[in-house]
Amino acid sequence: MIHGTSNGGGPQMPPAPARRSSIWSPEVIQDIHLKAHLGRYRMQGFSTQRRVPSFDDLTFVPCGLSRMPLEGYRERCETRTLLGTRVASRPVELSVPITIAGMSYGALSKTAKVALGTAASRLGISTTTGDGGMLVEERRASRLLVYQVLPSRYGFDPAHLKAADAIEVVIGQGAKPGTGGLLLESKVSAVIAEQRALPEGVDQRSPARHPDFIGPDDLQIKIEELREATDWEKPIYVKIGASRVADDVKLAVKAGADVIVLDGLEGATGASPEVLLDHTGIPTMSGLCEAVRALEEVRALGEVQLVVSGGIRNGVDAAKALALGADAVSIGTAALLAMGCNSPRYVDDYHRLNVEPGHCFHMHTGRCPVGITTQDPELEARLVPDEAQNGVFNFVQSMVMELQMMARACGKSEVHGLEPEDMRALTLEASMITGIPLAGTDFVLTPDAIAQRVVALLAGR
Amino acid sequence: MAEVGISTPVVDCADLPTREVNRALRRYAAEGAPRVLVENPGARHALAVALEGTLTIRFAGSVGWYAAGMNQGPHVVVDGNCGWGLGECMTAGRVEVRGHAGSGTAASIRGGQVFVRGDAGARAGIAMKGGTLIIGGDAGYMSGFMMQRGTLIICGDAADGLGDSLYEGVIYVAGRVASLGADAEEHEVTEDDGVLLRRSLEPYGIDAGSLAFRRVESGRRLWNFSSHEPELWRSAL
Repeated sequence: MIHGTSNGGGPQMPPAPARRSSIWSPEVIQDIHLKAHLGRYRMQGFSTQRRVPSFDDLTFVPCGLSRMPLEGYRERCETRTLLGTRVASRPVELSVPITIAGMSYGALSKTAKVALGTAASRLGISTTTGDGGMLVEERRASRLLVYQVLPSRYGFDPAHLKAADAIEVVIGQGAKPGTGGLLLESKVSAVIAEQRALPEGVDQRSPARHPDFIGPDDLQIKIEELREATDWEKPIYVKIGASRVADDVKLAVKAGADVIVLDGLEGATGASPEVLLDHTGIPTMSGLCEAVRALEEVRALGEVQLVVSGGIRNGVDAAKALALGADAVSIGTAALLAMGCNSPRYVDDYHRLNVEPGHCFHMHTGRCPVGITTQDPELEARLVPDEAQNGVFNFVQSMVMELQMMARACGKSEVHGLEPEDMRALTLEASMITGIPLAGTDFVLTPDAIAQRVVALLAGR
Repeated sequence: MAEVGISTPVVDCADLPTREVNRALRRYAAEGAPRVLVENPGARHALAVALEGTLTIRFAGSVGWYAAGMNQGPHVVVDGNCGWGLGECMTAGRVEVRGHAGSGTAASIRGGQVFVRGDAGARAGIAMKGGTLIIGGDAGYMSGFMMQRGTLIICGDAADGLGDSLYEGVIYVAGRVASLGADAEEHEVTEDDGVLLRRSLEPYGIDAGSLAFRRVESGRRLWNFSSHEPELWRSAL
């Protein structure tokens, strides 16, 4: 028997430390082992876990001697926001530039949907239906409710369309642009199946395309139909996943949208193949800048409002989005977290899912320990309605305070007065994406600006 | 708006924007008028949409896209052809087209009946959630795609991909089927099927007995993922 002879019979060496391969990392090896077992791609809920260029790469440059700030806790800072002023005779008026994003009854429990509506009503903001239609209880709880028209048309009801305050035609979502929704077997309960006219317990895979239109010219006619169906009263939003943003925004404007909802790569979902979450779409900040440029190009900035979503975590993200040109932001995951998603309660149930509180992504399995993303009555009963809606109310209030704090520090008496000039970029890539100077310089690192600088240098200026 | 005889009001599209045409139809429906004649529809889009009640509306000519879309009860007759999305998302009522229909006919309807005397374009009966679509002629490709419930009757031929990925619901086809879609299976009709077909087609003067119908329904192999059928899932996704 040979012991310790790897050194060819020389002095015995200690075991070599384990080296970590950057190609075949433990995560990659585990991924391959899992797929070898499953025979398909991996699924998960929540959002991508990748680091992408984000609002964190920008900082505000508030007032000093050159500009006068507003008193942070006293002076008025207007937050009122109008959406849908282009064509609709009854625009949506929000008390603050924040909305609750579309999340389906099916992906979420009924208790969660109603809590979102109740909180939104107290806040004077809108909430949104989802892939599965409108709940009567949701309509009752929500003072302002946006009704989604999705490719699946699950639960679509013309009476609900008429009962809505605005209509959102969903072309795509940021988490998985170019694909349809998913609701896996465990969440297609008898009630959900009946609402969607599906067999109970199927893996529901929503279509990627609408059943009655395909391209932008078709969308124009579809929007006309929706306006005729609602007597031209309700604003029509068009929601796109951030992908080919400039083209999609221009086409949505041409098709007649009142509002464009742009959902970035950081957007979450109830269930998705992991590869779509991690490898499709572009980040929210990048999409927003591209969308604003597109709206400027077709002279629709201000006429067509822009709502952005996807990874909005606090009032500072909202402030930066507004400063870059958004009219409002939409929150989904943050609202669920405010209701208690991933909170350290029922810890044993997290462990049964092989995750710790704070790291749970099991929206897709229906085993939500805190009763938010489940159709199991016992789990749903864990979500206390008043606690849930209070959590959302308090969180959005804090967002508004943070948003106003940034605006006042920048000397703005209304949050919509925030502008790119109020910020500096902290990274080269953020500077290039936003056209905002890198902090500590007066450089704007967009291709046009670089070209102008070169021309000026050559001209000796 | 002129009056024809004692009880049939006329809405003339030549004089009105579409918005006013639909407002007039909504008004007649709300007043409980039994019928209305719409002249000079001019293949305009979005006519007679999202209406309630039992009003019978006759279009004296062709209509454009989404005619009778999202309706909840009315009986709409089109003396001509129609564009895409005829009767889409309808929940109740009837639609009859004397000519041909474009793509996405009866898309995602939840109830009621749509009848097309001639041919229908691609994706007829796509995502149906109930109700009945009857096509007197041929149906375009991917008809019955992702159909969930309801009945689709095709008296003529069906192009490629018939019944692709359908969950539930039944398709009857009398003519040649270019190809079935993923997980669609063809079966012989039963006596009960024959009764249903006779009753459904008789009002339109079509003799079901003279046609050789077959029944197409879901093989249910796409309802839940299985690693045992890789070929099926590769083509389905």
